[in-house]
Amino acid sequence: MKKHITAEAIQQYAATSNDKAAIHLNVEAAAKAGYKRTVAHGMYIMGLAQSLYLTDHPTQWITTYSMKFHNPLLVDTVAIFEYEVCDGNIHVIVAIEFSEVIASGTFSVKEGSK
Amino acid sequence: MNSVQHRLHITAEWITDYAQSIEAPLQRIHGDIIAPATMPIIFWQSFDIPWLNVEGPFIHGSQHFSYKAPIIAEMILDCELSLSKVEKKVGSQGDLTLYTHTLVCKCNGDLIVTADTVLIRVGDQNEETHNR
Repeated sequence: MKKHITAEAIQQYAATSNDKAAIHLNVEAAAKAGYKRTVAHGMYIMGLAQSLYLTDHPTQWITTYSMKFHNPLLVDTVAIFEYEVCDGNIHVIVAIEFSEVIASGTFSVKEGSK
Repeated sequence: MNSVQHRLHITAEWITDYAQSIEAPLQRIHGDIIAPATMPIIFWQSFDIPWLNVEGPFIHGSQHFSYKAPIIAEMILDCELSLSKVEKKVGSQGDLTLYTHTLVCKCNGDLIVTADTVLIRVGDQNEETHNR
């Protein structure tokens, strides 16, 4: 599943989460930290990974969810979300082109929501 | 002091706003709106966290949520955020300090969710203090 990460979405997430660290919103601050563009919040990526899955599985709710953040995800990038079910858990890899892994995680679900 | 507490009223509006910010479908159990699993991370905005009043930036290293029951709209949650571990490591970016946090949220004394957060600060804090 592919998702274009936009600056507008990051700005909205920053406002809702109140995580307004300059690296997420300010191009100059991102450049000073060594990035060509602003950087998505790790928790935006983790949230989006659950949202994309649950949109396709709306009767499930997540009971445990873990994620490690390996590399920064710059805005205006297409992120690829790949899911694999294994032993009752769902593994998710978030990557960009050339297979650079941004984040990896695992969650478990229960049936019951509507 | 390495822990802070706060009581939070989880409104349906707050859940809806957060769900929209991560493009999450609004889910219900028995007719009640439930919060996306990752929502407790934004509870941090309610805390004044004295041990993070150092120069950043902080990098989010890892995150874990474990639920006993979903967070339901209009719940009153008693939340405690604790700094459970501070570790020094050397990585490819140089000296790293790892701050491991645990957020515990209860409703009427019943555990709802535990969330573990590792924040990483790049640079040697002591060295920078000496150099100021």
